[in-house]
Amino acid sequence: MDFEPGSDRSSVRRRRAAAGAFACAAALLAAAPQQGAPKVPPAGQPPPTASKRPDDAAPVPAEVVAEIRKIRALYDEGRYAESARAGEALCKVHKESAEAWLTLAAVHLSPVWTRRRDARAESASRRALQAGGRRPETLQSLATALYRQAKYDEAEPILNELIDPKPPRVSGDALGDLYVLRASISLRRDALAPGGRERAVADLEAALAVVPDQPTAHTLRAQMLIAEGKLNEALSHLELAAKSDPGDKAVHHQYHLCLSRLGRRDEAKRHYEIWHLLNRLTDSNSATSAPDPKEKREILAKLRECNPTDWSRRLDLIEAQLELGEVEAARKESDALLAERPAWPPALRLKDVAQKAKAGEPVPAPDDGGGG
Amino acid sequence: MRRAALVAGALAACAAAGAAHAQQPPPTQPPRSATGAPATVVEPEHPAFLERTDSGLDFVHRRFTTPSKKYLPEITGSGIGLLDYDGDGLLDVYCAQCCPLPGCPEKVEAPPDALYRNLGRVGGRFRFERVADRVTVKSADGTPRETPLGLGDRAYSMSVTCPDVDNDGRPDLFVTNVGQDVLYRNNGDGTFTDVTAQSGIVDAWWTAAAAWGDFDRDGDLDLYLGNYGLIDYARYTVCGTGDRVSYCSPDVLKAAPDRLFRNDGGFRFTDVTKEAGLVEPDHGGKAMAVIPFDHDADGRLDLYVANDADPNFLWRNVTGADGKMKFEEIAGEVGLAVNGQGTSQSCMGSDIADVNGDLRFDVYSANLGKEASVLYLRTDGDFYEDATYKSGVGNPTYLFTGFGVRFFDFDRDADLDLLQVNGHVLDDVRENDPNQSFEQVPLFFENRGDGTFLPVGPKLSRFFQEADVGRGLAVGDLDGDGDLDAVVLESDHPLRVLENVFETSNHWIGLSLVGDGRKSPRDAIGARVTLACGDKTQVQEVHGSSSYMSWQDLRVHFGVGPRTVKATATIRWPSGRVQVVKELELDRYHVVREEGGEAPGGSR
Repeated sequence: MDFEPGSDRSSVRRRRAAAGAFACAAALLAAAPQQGAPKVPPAGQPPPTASKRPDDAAPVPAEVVAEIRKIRALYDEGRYAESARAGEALCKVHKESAEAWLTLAAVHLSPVWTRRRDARAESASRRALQAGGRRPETLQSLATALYRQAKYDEAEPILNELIDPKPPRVSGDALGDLYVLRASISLRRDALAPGGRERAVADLEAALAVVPDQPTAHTLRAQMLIAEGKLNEALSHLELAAKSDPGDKAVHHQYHLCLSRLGRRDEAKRHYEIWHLLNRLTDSNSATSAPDPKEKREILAKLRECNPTDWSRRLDLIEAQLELGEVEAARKESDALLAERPAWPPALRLKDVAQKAKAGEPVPAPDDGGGG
Repeated sequence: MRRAALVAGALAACAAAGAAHAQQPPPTQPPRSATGAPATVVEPEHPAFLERTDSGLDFVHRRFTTPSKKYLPEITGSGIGLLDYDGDGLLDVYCAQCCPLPGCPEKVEAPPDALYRNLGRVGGRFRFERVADRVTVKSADGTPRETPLGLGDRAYSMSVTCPDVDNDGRPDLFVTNVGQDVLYRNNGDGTFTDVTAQSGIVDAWWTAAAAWGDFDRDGDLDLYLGNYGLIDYARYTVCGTGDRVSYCSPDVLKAAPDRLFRNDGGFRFTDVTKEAGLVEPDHGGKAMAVIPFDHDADGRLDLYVANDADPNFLWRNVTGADGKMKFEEIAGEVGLAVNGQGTSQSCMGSDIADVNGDLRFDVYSANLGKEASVLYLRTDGDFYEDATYKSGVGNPTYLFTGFGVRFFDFDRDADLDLLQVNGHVLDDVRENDPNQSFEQVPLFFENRGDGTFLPVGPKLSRFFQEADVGRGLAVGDLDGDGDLDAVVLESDHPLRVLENVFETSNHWIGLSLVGDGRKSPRDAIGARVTLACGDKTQVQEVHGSSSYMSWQDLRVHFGVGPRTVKATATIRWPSGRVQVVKELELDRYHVVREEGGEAPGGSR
């Protein structure tokens, strides 16, 4: 069981993963004076949290900025191992660059790369700390790396350092994530300790006060309520979690069990079906066990019917159709999607690809979200 | 200007906070080695398990690694079985052994599995002797003659099961292998006969687990084979980077389908997998442990299958009055397929028991490091809830890769404690993760009486401070003194024998159940015992497989704490008969034979 925000392979989170993992590095760069290069755009992720880069800090060399962009591009393509190797190379040359180390840490903090090295994320974060001081982004990176290694006693004071000042040293989504992380420590390490549960509840409520649609906070709160037998109360949290991240299989799994226990079998069945399809889609990356392109397309088509607001999976369906050469179906599906989400850039892009494919242009290979 | 001042102030504060943090004392968590072992071994505060290195159980497991291939079975095997093969009332030990696989640099003859006879306590200590390849038996006319023991499987052995296949009151032996499995009939004279060829059990897959139960309720034990995959030595996928060969992820192998064999009597079996509806969903599952238990308390044995990196199965037995076995898969629906996050885990050794005293069975599976072992608590209705962390087992097991697991009441305080042996699957794991290592310490959890657990291993034994590569685990009363001992198989290591020496005034009761052999299996696998002693009621089942690749003492053993009143046992036999046995004295074993009228439900 992983309580960490954004640590599963839901479609939304998979797509956000790159952005999320690099948020810390991007935030540093966004605030950093740079030599001869424009700021690195946040590339779709939430606005970076306030950076505390010292005014007198040395400007980030243009080649570092350029290299980080390349690393980010590799990561976005799912080429995680290459991305990590490029990060190592960058850090070898620019040992004093906090941005370089934080970028390397970001790769190893990937929620989706199965061969990530949590210990490397920790050591890179510590190097960033040495090079750039106790900036919120660096501390967030370090706390996450420590948490992943169950070093809760080390992670917790760092989280306190970020969360407890008035006002907290981070804000927005990042603050919500940190509250959830601290709640997760209470739920794991302090499961049997007096006050552990209460601390977890307080942090989850604080997370939801900051980010009312924080899906992990809702899911965790629901799990706690289910454990207490408060099934109806849990349902309201699950509903909000599902609304916020309809592609999260953990939510549908819990939703199905909760509804089943309440005797609402028909509603439960729908969530069971969604969980089952999502699980089949994400449970394996191997050639022997993962669904082949046709099965994948069939699963995504079923998900479209039973979980239509999972927009990311809708995009996946179009990509799967394109992969199978079903150009007309892909075009129609992108039209349908755009009817529901007018002018949504990813859908527009895929529609464009479909139209070009119809005209005979090759279809670019989709990002499979895995590998490396 | 004002904003700049604020930022500068904040930065100064941060710098101060940073400096303050740098001066803080080190974290309160003690330094942790990757193996989980303490820097120095400490004497246990409350000695509970003494390792007996002089017991004569000198079996040394070998996994015979092939560095150029790193075949997956090298990191999973093997198990042990506790059985009284010679009927002297003492548990003997059968040990599964591995052999060199194609490409193995060791050019030695494959060693056989080994059987050790329990000689009872000699000089106050356990004493075992290895049974030789040839033994002396009495001929019909009473004259002694030397004859082959009849065992000696030399394949790459995985699990050991010891069911009474022919209901003759003697445990037989079934050993699963990477390749064809082997069935031995216990001849009753101290020898065995290999009856594999006549049995109809044909299965060339790599079988990790086997489980026995009377699934069609016809009075004999049927066989469920938990298959993992197919090992094709000629076309084996070698994993690794550059020149470095590493063990592959389980995903590389295609899951092999599990099989169900109906016992037709006379050591003959029929494959009824398809007729019984055992069609695995999606891409199937790589079974590592199989436990038959009665999930829905309808008297029919269901099957929990712990799969490695695939969703687990719960095959609900829906066999009708015609006795034709039929199952339906419901793990996902009831919450046993995946963890609370909806994700498959690397489930390995497993056990099923009532851990929180609510008279319902809970399910536990050990997992890979950084997954934490999972405890599913039975809730209302047919459902299970992932209680891994709230039960206290999640955090201590998080960095451990668990294999053999077993719930038993080591201190007789009327709740079930938990032993888990560990060892990562990757012999080079530390190169990638300094938090984990191939060798890991075993863990022992004391039940706080309510289904929450505290890790107490180092307080109980030095054994829990020594890291190794734990795999098989069998628990039983080796010396018949009323407490439960343990035997642990570690990869490439001599067997570990742990004698329970915990001093307590708590009481206990043991039941040795004997089915009628016609409508219930003689060894009573599948029987459910509800024991009432004073204000305490407990429930246990006789399981035809549990832990990891190992066979347990089939006697049911209850600790009853300080209670001194006589106990009442209500036994629901596999036939469906319910028998109440009153006025059972404490602190001894009772043999209970199935009796009563016609079994209900018209079981065949």
